[in-house]
Amino acid sequence: MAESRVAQLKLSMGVHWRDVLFFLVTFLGVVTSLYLTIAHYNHLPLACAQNGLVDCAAVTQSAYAQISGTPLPVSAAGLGWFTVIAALRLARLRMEAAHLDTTAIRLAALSVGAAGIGFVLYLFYVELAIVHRICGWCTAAHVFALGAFLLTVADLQQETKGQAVESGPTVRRADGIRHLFERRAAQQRRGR
Amino acid sequence: MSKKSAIALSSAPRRRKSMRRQPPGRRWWDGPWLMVGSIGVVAAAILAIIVVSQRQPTASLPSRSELATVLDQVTQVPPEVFNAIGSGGTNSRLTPDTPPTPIQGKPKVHYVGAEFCPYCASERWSLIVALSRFGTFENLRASQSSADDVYPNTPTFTFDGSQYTSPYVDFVAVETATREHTPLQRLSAEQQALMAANNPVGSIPFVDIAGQVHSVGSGVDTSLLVGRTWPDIAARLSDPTDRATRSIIGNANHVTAAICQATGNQPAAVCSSPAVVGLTVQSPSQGSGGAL
Repeated sequence: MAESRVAQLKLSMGVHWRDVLFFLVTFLGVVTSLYLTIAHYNHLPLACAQNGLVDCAAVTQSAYAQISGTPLPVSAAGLGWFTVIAALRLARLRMEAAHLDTTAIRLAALSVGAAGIGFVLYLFYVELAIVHRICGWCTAAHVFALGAFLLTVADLQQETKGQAVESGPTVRRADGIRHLFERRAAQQRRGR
Repeated sequence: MSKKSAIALSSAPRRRKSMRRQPPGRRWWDGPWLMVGSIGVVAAAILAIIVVSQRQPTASLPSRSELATVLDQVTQVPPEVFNAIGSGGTNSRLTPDTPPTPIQGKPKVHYVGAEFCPYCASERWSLIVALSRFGTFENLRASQSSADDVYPNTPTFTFDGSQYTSPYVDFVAVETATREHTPLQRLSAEQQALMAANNPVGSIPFVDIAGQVHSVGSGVDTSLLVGRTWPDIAARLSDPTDRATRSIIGNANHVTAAICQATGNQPAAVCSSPAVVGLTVQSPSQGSGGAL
């Protein structure tokens, strides 16, 4: 009984397997970023293999490991990014459950996601072309960020399909007003 | 037709557009291109970054097999060459730290330099030669100083990404910038304190040995390395008459003597050798090196 109620609630909130996967990926991203941030502030050595190309310390102790002009490590920016994009998805689910238009929030999530991926590519460039080392933990965070971004793109595209079967109050109200205008216009045409 | 109804008619289509949800397939993000494009752009960017990172700074860097030979020659200079050269006719550039730091545990040798810096380029040869008598380097890569500075393209190595292991001494190297002057590594708090106390101007190369003595600038005559190749310099390290070799090994002997003071003359085979015995820290000299 309880299980079916939970299932009903999930259904009414529109939680899809993509949402579950998205939250899993962002959770892993948060954990990884948190680990890197804690290690940075506590000067802890990272649990990371050091063989040739892979060298976490070389990357996290490089001049590029901090956001330019601030004492903040880039992992803190990653932590913030994962939190914001997860919060946007959560807000979207709540809005959808309340039958509100979610296009704007999905587009906002896409913008945040694209900005994050741009930064990830910059960090990848720094690792390979400048520091000449790869940080395993950073790469894991980058992969999670890429996953979150692609799931955000998929979520935006899913909106169109979702709306085709959607019939919430907002849509019904809009349809009612449309019919009112069409009827009035038809009456005026007949009157002429 | 009344004015009111005319307004209602003219505004009806606009309202319809704003309030009605657009049918599927009309918006710019509909269709597969956004997903395919996103994946494509990310993949292309990753590929481009990999290609850019594979480019060597110059075409004249030694090949992998050449570098292996060069490193063998630099890290295994015959003892008789050290003894034959001694100070190489140069005074030590090492001066006492202010104040000296008590040695706790394994002494640390700090190096602060940059890949673009020509004086760092020449100093690295001596440091590698000297430190190889106490331990082992791994993952040293060939590098060149900046093409746009004095003594352009001085052949050298970079400590970035290298590892050093020794039972007698630790080596902490920081290359603050690449050959292209882009920032690379940061100073630790310990290095910042050492620099502030002994090298407030922040000149490089800066070498500190166990918090006891330090040098600012290169103890090697950089001009002797310009225009030469890694294999050429390395192969002549067994020739005590070569001017570049005398400069590199002479400076390496000064560094070795200072490290021996910090390690309590360990290992004995190195620290009791004729080349090291008798070389002590002297007053600052106006040697042939320089600093940036």
